[in-house]
Amino acid sequence: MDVYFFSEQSHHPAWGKFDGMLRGDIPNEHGDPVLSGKLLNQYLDMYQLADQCGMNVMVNEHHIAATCMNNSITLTLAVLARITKNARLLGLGSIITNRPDPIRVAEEYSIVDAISGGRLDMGLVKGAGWELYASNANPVGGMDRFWEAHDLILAAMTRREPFSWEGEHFEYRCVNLWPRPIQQDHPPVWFTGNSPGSAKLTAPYGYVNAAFLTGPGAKATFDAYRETYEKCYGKKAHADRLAYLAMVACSRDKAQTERNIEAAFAYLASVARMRPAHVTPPGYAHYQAITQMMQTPPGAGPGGMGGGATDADALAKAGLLFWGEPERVYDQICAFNEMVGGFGHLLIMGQNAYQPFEDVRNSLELFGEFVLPELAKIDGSPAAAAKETVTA
Amino acid sequence: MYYPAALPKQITVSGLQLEYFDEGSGPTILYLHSNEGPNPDLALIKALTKTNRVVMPAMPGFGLSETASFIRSVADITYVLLDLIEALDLNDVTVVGSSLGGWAAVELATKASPRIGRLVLDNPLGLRFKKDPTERQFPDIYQDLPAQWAAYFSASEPMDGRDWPSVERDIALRAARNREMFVRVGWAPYLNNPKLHGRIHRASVPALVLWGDQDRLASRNYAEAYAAALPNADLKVIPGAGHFAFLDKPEAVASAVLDFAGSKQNA
Repeated sequence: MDVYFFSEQSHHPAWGKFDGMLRGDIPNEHGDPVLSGKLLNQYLDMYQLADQCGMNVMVNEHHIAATCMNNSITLTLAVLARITKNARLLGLGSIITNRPDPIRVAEEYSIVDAISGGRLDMGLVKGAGWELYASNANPVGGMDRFWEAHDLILAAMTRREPFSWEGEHFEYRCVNLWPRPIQQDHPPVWFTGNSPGSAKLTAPYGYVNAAFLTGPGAKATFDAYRETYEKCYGKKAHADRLAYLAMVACSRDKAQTERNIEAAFAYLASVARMRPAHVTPPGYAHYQAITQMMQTPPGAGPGGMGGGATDADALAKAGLLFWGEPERVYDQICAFNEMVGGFGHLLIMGQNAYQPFEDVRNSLELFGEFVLPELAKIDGSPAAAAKETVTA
Repeated sequence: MYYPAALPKQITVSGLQLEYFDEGSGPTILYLHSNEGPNPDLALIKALTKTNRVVMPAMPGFGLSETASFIRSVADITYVLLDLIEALDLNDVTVVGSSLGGWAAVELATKASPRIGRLVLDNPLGLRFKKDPTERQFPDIYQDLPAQWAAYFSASEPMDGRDWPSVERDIALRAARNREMFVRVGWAPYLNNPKLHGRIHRASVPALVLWGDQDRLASRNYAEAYAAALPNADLKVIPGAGHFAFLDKPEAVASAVLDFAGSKQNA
């Protein structure tokens, strides 16, 4: 198992200055631009430190939000391509459902792959509901745009002659990628997939399926991926086709551990500060799914993120926060990995809410020294997985 | 209680199977429904069928009517409606449209079918008059859940407390499809077609614009500007009605339609 460090790069000092929603509604007058610059540089420092500690790095992208300042995957990855040495650079991901110009995505990702010497992992995502209010892309038909943009980006990266594209949603006279990516045929593709339905769409391509903070629900998602992959390829999927994102905070100090846990709960509380319509805009889900939701009696649906966990042990068991001394963190990760049937990439939210740089530094150094080498020994090969099943 | 409903008939036009209602006898009214979909039990429809033939399709993508990838706007829908009018051989038609359906009625009239005799536009959407790009013409209902839209549409209670878990699945399915199609054609440009300003002079048949004085979606200024943009239109205010005047004051809307259609019969 390998590890990617990730921070949402929030402007958390603004959170307490506004009573309402942290996405969409919070006026940017509550953000201090000088402080934004300072924080963004600190986040870059954290990414650099993660690289020095032997980890890969991951950035995400959101808009109109005080919970994530990074509004461009490729801008930040371009900086990281220059200031990191060994880390794989995962962008998860570029919201191609909403982008009017997918070729721009292919071009910028190619630049990152070129500058980094071929270290890019290329995430392509549908995007959260509230992103539609920022981009104004129509919520209806988003997945049609997603697939066409995906086909176009892959064609741009793999074709060696200029070509034209006259699709249903995008049209170009001359596609001719300069530079083209170093990694051949193209950088590895990652999708987010938080449900069995999504995983079934990802598996036929053999792309990496990453589940974000879904807790034990990751098992059904990963099972769906493994089943579909085996049907398509006639062999078992390697664990490196699956990734899971959780919060992680290491510390040997009691007071610091308490601060880390508080920051994790502060992040979970921030997730809820969003208009209900921004979670599921009308038209965002297919009408058949909407029918199902409309006919589900109130209270019978799935609970919110965290499953109502009120203490840190429950969060660890649910696979949302792995915390404490490195040995304990390792045990928690192993238990969760077994519960969901094994994944090859752990994406760690290693900085949450107002968690200060010094606590993150301490956590990363401990994790890098004690946890990372142990996780590297976990064999994610299909043979190992099969053996476990037999002895169980 | 206003739920979407099944319609008894089927017809295939423009390669799409539409469900529709066609009852009553007398001069023909083509009724174009709101974003919440058609329902023959609405008091307005019951009142109109007493004296008129009322044809009411579920527009493409609404109800269980089929749609296709080439339908992405209200203007696209109107080509299917033109085919429907011809397939049913409707003549001297009074087109009545509510809200989204009023917008469709105007777009239809700009295509200048000689079969259309007059228009009654019940709180029509479809035009934007604001010049300042930072000023909205309509409040952004898409930032609220569909369950909250009733507050914008109706000044009375027929949309409150709808119990979706208890209705038959095909009714809930119609409601979900109505919402999806409403967003497909209404998202951006938001509930209007900027090109319509350049075509609206072609909708030259006699027209009556109705506006409910409790409308929380569109203002009186909007309704007045709408009537002025049409070459041959009057404005009538419906007291006590919200944006869905057909729902809040069906008798007032019915008599406005019948008075207007009667007085303009030979126009």
